[in-house]
Amino acid sequence: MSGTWFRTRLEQTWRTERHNPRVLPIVFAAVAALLFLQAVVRLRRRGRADLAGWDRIALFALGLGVTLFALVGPLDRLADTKLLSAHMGQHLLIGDLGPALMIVALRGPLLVFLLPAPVLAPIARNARVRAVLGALLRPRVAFGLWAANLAVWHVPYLYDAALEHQDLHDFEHLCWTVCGVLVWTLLVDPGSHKRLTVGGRVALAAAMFAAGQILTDVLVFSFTPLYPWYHGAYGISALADQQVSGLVMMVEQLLTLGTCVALLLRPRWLPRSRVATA
Amino acid sequence: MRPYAFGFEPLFLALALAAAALYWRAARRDPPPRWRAASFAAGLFLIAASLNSPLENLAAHYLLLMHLLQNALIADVAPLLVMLGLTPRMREALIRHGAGRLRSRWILPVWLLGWYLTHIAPFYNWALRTGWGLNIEHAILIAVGLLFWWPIVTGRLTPATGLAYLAAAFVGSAFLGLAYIFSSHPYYSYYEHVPRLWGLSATRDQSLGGILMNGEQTLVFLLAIGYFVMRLLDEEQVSGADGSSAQS
Repeated sequence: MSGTWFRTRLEQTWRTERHNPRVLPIVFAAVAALLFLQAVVRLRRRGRADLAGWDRIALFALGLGVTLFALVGPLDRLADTKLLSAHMGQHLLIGDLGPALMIVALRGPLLVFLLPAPVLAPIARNARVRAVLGALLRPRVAFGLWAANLAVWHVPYLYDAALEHQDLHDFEHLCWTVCGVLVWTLLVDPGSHKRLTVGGRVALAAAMFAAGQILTDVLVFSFTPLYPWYHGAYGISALADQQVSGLVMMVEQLLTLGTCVALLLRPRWLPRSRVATA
Repeated sequence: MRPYAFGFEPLFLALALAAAALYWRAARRDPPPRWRAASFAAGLFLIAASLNSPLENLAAHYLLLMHLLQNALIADVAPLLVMLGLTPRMREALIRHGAGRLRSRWILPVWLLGWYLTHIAPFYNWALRTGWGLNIEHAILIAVGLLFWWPIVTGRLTPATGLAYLAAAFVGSAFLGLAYIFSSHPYYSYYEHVPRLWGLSATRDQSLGGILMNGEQTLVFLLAIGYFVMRLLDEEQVSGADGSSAQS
């Protein structure tokens, strides 16, 4: 009885709220948080609290937090109606910073524990799923998808179309997140699959920065506003807003990719400096 | 004076000729490969031609945009070409004469200091008003440019430290170009009172100058970063860290 009541309520809620752009991100975030928490609990029960410490919880919460902040917070309204720079910031949070933080949090055994065994086992056994994931995580494929996503969604026609149609907008955000997860999985290598060497990961980060820089330059160096949807707001002209959005992208990439490269190369700096001082 | 008339800074013509003579003398003892000689010549030509051509006249009397183009050429591109023109034996000779004491951790702040100080408004306006002050500005830019590329071309930086050096330089120097792009008022009073060309207001001129400077630096630094990434990958291939068998 209660099961039927619950299903009916769920169906009613879905019918009334499915067009609310805030529902899907909250549902996904709740599922992700639950999966992460059960992974932490399972790993701790096995006596490996050292691999599921508070630092990991904080990183995952931060990643989830910035993603939610970008999709359901005031930034979303600002991005949808007022400022291109806010929209750029939103994309960077859901496609770059959010996935990066969550993947860093999942390094090691936590990644394996993320999915409960009854879910993980059939996926792991399914050759087709493995083949698709293997193909998507090939460095050239992942980078190609990421770069194509970056280029395609910044075509003014598509950018404005996404703003006009919520379903397309949701799909756009899904693309950002998926592509972000792919490249950051290669950069962080949470499962130690060693698809790329340290040099390869640095090269990927440099290629991502270079590709992002092309878009930054187009936005900053353009003489006219490229996106008719935005007319400027809060005393900021449409052109200045566009230039700020390019700057936002450059700064965010420098921070995320720069930190990643610095952490990757740190072991190579330390021995040299010790040798030099010896 | 007509905008497209030639302007001259003969000091740099003389210095370029002196550098060419010294290079020719050194090349007789240690013949460089053709590409190195061409690179050295191109670097000297860029310095001499930027400062002794209509570009000089446009930069000194009309457009900040042209002045920043001139500075980007003589501070970034030309010094790199000149440094690439040196053969290993020429570099060793320079090391014996004191260049060996130069350390990248000191060079970087000195380069940034030179880059920013030569562009602060009082100095820039003074240099433009006196005319001969431009010689000092350009000499500083060329000197710090040569200094900056020295650790890169000598190969003394490991790929990891080279990447850190270039990334720090790229980020550290970017603020100047960005300030030009985003400022809503002109920084240099000198350019507010010069005849306007091409319908550009002083602010637009400055913004375009910033765009040019930023674009040029992005290109040069990303190419240099790409070179060090390739070296990093080569290093891994040699050590076998990339999964291939180590080369002897």
